[in-house]
Amino acid sequence: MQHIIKTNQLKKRYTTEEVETTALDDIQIEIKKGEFVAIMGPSGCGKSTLLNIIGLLDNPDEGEYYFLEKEVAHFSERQRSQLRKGNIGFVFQSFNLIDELTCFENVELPLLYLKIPAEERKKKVEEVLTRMNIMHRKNHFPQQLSGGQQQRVAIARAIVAKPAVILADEPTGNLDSANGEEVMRLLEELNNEGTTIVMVTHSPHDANYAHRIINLFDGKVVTENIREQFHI
Amino acid sequence: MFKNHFKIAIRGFIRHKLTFFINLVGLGLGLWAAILIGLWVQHEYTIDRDLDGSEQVYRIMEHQTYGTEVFTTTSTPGILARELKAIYPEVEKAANFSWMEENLFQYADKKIRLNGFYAEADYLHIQKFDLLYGNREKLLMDKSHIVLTEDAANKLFGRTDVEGETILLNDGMERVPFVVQGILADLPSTSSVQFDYILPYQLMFDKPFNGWLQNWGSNGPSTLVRLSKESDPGKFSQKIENFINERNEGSSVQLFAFPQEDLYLHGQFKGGEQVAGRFSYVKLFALIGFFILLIACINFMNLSTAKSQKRAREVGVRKVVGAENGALMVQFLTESIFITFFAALMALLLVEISLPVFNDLSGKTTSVPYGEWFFWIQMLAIVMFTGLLAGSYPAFYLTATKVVAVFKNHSNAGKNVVRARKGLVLFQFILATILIISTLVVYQQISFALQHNLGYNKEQLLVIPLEGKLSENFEVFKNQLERLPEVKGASRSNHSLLGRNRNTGNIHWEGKDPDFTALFEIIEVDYDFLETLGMNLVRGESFSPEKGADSLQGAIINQRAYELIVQDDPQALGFKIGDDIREITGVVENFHFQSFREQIEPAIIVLDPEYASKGFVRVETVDMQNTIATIQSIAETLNPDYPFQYNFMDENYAKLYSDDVRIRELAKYFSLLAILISCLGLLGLSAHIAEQKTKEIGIRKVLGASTLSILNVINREFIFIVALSILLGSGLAYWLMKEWLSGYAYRIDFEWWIVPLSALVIFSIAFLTVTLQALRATGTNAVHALKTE
Repeated sequence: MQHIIKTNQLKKRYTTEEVETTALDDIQIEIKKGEFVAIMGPSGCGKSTLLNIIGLLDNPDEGEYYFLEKEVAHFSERQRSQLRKGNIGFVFQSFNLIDELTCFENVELPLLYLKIPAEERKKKVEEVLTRMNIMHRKNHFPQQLSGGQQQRVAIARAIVAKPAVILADEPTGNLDSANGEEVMRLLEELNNEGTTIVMVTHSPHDANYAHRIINLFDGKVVTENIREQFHI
Repeated sequence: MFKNHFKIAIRGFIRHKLTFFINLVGLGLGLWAAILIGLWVQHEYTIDRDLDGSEQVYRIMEHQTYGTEVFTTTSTPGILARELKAIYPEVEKAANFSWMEENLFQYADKKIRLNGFYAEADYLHIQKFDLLYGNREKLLMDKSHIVLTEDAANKLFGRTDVEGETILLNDGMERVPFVVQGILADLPSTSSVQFDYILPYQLMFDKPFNGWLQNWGSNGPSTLVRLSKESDPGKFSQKIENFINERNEGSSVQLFAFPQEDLYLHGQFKGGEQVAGRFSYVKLFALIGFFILLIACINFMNLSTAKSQKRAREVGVRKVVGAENGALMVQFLTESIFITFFAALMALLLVEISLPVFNDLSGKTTSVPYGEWFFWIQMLAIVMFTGLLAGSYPAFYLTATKVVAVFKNHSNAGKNVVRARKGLVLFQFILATILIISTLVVYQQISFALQHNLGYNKEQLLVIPLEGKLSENFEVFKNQLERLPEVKGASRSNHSLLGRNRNTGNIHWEGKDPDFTALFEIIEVDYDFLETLGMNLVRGESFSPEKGADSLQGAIINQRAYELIVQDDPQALGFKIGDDIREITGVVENFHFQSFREQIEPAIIVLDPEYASKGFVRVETVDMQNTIATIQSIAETLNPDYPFQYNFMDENYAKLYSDDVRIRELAKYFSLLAILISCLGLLGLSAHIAEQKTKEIGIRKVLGASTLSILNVINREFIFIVALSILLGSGLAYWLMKEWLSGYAYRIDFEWWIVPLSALVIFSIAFLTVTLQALRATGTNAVHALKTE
């Protein structure tokens, strides 16, 4: 199967005035198209740093990173931005919706940057909002929605441009169990339709939805388990 | 995409009302000042440039050399224009024209004083004022004809179609009829010359006592020429350089052609060199306008970057979903242009409301040219410029936000940004300090000039024009006035004491170095002049009828003239004005007969009231209105043809500083505006800092901090910046004001107390502004404050 994400000896360090911290150390992972991968580990182990690099929001200091089989480790901000557009969808713990835009406008945003014509945009946004069962709230502002509804809008925004991969950073972290469950089912459903999903989580329950779990500790991959090996 | 930016902007304005209000009001006030100043500057720039063919029009000017001094004037011999036109083919048109004078005109029973001058026929071919009635080719040719302006015609006739009507000019002796031959449309406000009528030059030229107009050594009228398009004005100036010297042996006059368009702003000379003159005011105000706008832009920049943490998440999200830096920059610039657009609307409204007051203050008649497309292009340019300037820093700063940092909740407000923000506040307050100190210095200098002893007493001194029979019967008038207990003296002179009038370098005395020349002012007076004006004799005696011929052949000189003469001739008995021998009968304390910009020059006072045009009446009264009414009734009985007219000497003198007073008043208002806008910015920033420190304040309160110590948390952010800006601003203002004061021969010293006073004003306003916000922050419930995380 084709690799959508592949890293080779990836390193990332953070330097403050006094100390240098190694956030990622020789990370070597491969994620295939259509996979659902969970990244787990204690706080500060480098999960989010890895997700940022995978999501082309940040560059590694050393090592290679292949996204869609293209070496992108040293891409400029502009190149990363170009590649991100339409290829990667993000779902965050704190939803990160723009307060000044309605649900519809928030979901529409990626399509605007892809310069998709208005008619087509409207169609796509309504389609995805309907699918997320939030169409009736399309003209509401984020503050007017519950956490679960906001996350559904965020997922709608992440998938509206039909990206190759969805990166989810603690997608249920701010939700109650019922809403969390609903979000996980949505992600599972998207994965079943062929979307690759990489999810950072603390929750073993959420990780249970993944095919594979990568465990990080102090910036290193310590174990990799496939679903059959889960002992949850 | 634009729609999306628009929506975000509008919704953002609604959500962050205080920031929006501060930005809108700040930018609006800044643009208001900039538009007003822009209108003023534009008006100044268009003076004498509006008329058809104005770029070909030149004023013939003279550099006159007296020893080491060079004196530049627009006064020329009265036959210069016709001679230049006859000799030089490049001179297409040439006209001599006289100085402005006021005359009494009559139509039916209506008598009106009008201002005008004499001019040769070519004048209206050079200055192409619009003609309502009449044939331009025939105007000013016939000595019995007159040209009126539309306004003058309306005043006299109540209508403008008056071609062929006859009006009477009361010249003191008789009523002379003139046929109205042309009506000029109202003169444009951009014409530096504003008049009611023009009479044919030949009329003045042919008067028996005006023979001197044909003399190459005597100056009076001005000379205007229109040069052909192909001609080179520089070469023409070279050709005419010695034109007068060749015709008048012994004179040292350098003739040159100066563009009429530039005369108003750039036509000031000192020592034969062009000096900044009025143009320096234009530059000064353009700079003030720009500074005020800049202060407003800085507010916007500061508030935007201060609020950036709130916007950073939006930037992050946009970047994550595919926005590139360029698109984000466009979004933020659109937002700042958008708010500038609203601010411009507010500014235009303010301009509309304040324009009459501004015109009054600036002495202009400007209006907003709403109907001209060029105005809207300028407005668009100013909105774009301001919007881009104000939005540039926030746009660059916000788009540089790192997505990873945003989502980690790391503040992007690094040291550099905070430093830049402090730097901008510093810059704002430096400008405010400069403006306030400059205003105080200008105030002091003008008060000094207006209140300083001039060498005579200008208070309660009436100046009455001697027209008609008042001139003939001055002795009778004087006798009747002196019977009034409120009148303490009366005399007359040809001199207004408000500027140079008649002067000569042709003065000789015993032992004088033949190479030394100086320009002496000649002041012709009647008996009792020194006593009426309150001048102090330091030696000798005043003129008196008892001394008879001694007075007529004597002269009273000022100390400056005495110093010049006595250094060569210790006896200083007398001198010659040309061939006229004069004995020095008195020396009077130096007195100012020009503004304080000029040194007191040597002056000679002679007894010769024949051409006296002004009566001076010293009164001492608490009921000025009644006294004037009594004087009026005496004057009108003696001189029934002329409505009584008078001025106060102190008011006439104050007019010498009308430009400076305008500058002072405008500087005052603009300084206040600059401080207001700066404080608005400070209000926004302190509100932001109070908001940022909510948690810190909550913790401090829980730990038992007093209100004062919490106030200190917010105030300390600004105290140092404001103090530093006062220090730097004071230094710059000191240097700038030294430069400005150097334009005055008589000036104040830069007083030390101005700096602490300005500091106190700025500091108090800034402190009050910040403390108000800080007090709000200290009032917050600690539990609520701690919940904000």
